[in-house]
Amino acid sequence: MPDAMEKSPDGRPAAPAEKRVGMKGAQVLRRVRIFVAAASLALTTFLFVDVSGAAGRFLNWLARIQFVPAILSLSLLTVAAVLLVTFIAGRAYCSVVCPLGIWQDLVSATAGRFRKQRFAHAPPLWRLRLAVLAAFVLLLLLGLSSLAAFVDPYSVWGRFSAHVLSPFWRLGNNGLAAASERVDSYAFAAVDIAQKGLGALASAAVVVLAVSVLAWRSGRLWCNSICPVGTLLGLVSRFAVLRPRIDASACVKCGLCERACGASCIDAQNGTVDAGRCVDCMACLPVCRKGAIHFGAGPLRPDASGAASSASQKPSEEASSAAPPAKPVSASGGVNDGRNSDSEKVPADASRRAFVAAALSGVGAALAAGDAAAKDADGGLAPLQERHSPQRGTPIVPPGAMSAANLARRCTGCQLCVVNCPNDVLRPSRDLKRWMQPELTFENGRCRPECTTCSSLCPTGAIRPIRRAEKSSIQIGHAVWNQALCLPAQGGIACGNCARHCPAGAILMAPLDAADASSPKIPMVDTERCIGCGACEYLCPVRPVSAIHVEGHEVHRAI
Amino acid sequence: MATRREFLKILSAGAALALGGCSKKGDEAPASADGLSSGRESMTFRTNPTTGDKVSLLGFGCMRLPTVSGGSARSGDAAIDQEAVNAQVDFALAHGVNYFDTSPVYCRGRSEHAVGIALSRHPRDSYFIATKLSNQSPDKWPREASMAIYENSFRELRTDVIDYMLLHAVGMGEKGGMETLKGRYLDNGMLDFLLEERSKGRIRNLGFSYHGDIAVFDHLLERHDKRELKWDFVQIQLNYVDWRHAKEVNARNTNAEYLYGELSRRGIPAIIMEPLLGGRLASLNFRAIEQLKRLDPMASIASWAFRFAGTRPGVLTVLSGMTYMEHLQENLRTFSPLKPLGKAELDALEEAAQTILDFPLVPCNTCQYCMPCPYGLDIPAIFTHYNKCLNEGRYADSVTDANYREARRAFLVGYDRAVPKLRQADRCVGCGECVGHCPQRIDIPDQMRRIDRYAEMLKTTFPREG
Repeated sequence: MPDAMEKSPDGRPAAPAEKRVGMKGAQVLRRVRIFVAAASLALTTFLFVDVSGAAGRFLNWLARIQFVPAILSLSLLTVAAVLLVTFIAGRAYCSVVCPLGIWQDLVSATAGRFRKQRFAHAPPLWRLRLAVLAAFVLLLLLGLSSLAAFVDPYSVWGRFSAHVLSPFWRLGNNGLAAASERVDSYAFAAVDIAQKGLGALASAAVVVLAVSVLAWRSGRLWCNSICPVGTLLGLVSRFAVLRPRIDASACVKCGLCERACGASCIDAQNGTVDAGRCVDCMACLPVCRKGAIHFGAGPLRPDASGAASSASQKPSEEASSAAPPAKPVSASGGVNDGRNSDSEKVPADASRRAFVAAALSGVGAALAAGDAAAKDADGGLAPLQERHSPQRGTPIVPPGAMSAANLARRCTGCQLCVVNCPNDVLRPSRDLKRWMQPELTFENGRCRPECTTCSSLCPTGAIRPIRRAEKSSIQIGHAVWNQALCLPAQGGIACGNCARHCPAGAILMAPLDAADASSPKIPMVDTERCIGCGACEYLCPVRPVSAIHVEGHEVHRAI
Repeated sequence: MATRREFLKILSAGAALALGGCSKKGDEAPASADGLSSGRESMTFRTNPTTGDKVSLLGFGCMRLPTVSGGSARSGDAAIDQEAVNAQVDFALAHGVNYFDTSPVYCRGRSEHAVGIALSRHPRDSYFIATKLSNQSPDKWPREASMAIYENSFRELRTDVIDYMLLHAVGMGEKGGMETLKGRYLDNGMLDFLLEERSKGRIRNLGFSYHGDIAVFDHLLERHDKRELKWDFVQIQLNYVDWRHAKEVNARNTNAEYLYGELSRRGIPAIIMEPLLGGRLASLNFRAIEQLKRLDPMASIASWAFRFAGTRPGVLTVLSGMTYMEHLQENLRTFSPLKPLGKAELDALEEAAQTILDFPLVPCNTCQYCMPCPYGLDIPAIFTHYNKCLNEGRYADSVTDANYREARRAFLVGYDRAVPKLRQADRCVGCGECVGHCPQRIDIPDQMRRIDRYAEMLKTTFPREG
């Protein structure tokens, strides 16, 4: 075929451009794609595991260009951009942006080392795809983002990074911190590695494990039969301008491309590519020995030199390639083990059910909140009793969330805020309706007045950006005092640690007995000034449950 | 990420050092192993006007004797390392040190015994023994109990004569300095007894060591003036900070300038304790270090304090509590012979004293008496970290300071390293349980609040960009 192209005397304008995407071009295209995808996966994951804060400052945009977050945050420009790219070049998004998609390629490529040429064409599972997409949209419309998030590829990867990968990264960081401490350097600081709940870990691991099993066996099956983003973008990419195209005149129907296609979207027998399922992985291009498949805007025209012979064939070829896509051709897939795609769907569903069940049991199992303290009780140190989270009537959501409803509606539970919270106050919720969505608790820290990390990171608009100056005037809850536990009220000990550390000056220490000015002073909370930051709860000396705790507000107020 | 780069630099520098270490060692070693002349001739001696004793200007303080576990016997329960004590005493005597200061209470009551063993291996006329009647505890105030302590000292020290006997730490006491003095020495007749013992020759010199209430100091010297009794020497706290700023260190203290002046105008020799202010003048903050290094880049920081104490002619000896042979050798270098300070150097030390006081160090020496704090705070660790940052110059009280970024990171990162989060200063409820236990009389809750405010300021104030 290259011979034929070189000879082209006729020089139609389209030909040279097409030529470049020949054998060599195909390899380059594939390599570029692999490089960009690898970088994208690494950096997006880094955003979740980084402990220095640098990723949050410079790589924030990687979370914002994710499709579901863009929709939830109503970033129409981002959504439009993704759709436009998809219309022009197919599902490049799935190929180089979506971390879960790239992860599947990684798994699939590893599997490919053991079983080469293992894919085969399979028909699209339209009913499943549309059902999942419909359910996903419905859940979003109902404001049940936490449930929809089970199939949102970005947040699935986020949960996995945050709860499974991040601990290892932190272990490494702490090793460096120990080393830097030995040379009296402050370059690395140790961080807490404590697990944030078994439910979170299970929820993160199970889904990614299931997706990985699918990828190991059938490549991008998840993307083309379950992922709602894949389905939606697929609806657009069906009409994509640039896409893999098979030149029927050159194709010998050897099926190499079909067997290299992890998306099972190439039908070699009929010479068609289902652009709706193609994820632009470019794996098919270099495998073709005839140069018959290329990525471009139109059919690779047969060259004028061979026009006489090939032109006569063309109409019939085109006819044959135009007809088949509509009708089922599953028989053609029977050549290989490709048919298991149908049976794959069952384990996928089963694993989902198992994972929901595991999640449910996790709610019960992960009740004891881990307090990282009380580790070194040697020498003259008084032992510290573990701190327990109080029973809160209303959960506390981070400043910037505006209201519990807004958070529930928009948050996909990606854990970007949870894992990056420098004060360790955010936890994934164990309530199924707010599953994995962040809520505040103050056993290990307080929501510090100068910190706006979560609001600056959130890609979905569940936590809106707030300024540092604004922070101390956003009321996310209010403190409630418990006389039965308070030291001055019960033991007559002068304390006032809550009042001393209240950034809002909302706690006044007043005599317990109004008539006796010398009676022990107890805290009186001015709930109008209280912002619910949790300083009082965190610093209260009473254990296991503080004598003062914060109740969340359904709707945040500015004071 | 300059700090990260620095860290890597340090790592690589460390590697280079490790590689180059072998070849370098040879050049750095001094001509003689310890850098000291072998005999006792070069030691500076002072003469006791009463007895004519030629006393070495460096006195061996025996309150921090070495233990087998490697620390000082003042703070640990580990057994005293008698071998090491013997070796140090031998070395000290060989280099001219002939004054050994101990007490029945030092090293948890084990000092006299160990010193007795070490000294009794040498001719009795080659050294002077100083010990004290340490009957501070009220149950030792009765005459019999005090007598028992006194007689026991002779047995422990294996001697018939005590060269220098002191009333121990007069001016202190919970009931007030004067009341305590009466209880310990006057009402029970112990002072009269000691005077008698002196006239009998069992005590060659009688004096007192003074802390705290100035009324006691003045009272005892007044009796000297009235010739009711005669003090052969007095032991006082003297160093370049206490010289004119004693009140700034501790409100109940009196300037050493006054104490020394009172003694010298009566011709009473002064014996100096705390020349290093409890060790604090051996490790200064970076600015004070800079000032001293400008005077003489080769001199050790501690040597300035010793020279300050030894410069006054009325000083008989300067005590230094030594745990390690290196302490002894370093001190011998300073005192063999002692180079008195000139006017310019004294002025510079006064300047350094002011710098030291400008830096709000917490005078904690981590004795752990305050612990455990009922609220779980690690009080000594908090103070140690704070002082460390100050001393290393990693302190900035304003965002406009040039080193703010570095100081902020060092303090906050180091804070979490040194003290678990739940044991930091913000946990102090101010119950005051610790205050009574602190021998330095630090207002611990107040200091906790100050450190907490500092940490809070660092956390809330971000370094300026650029």
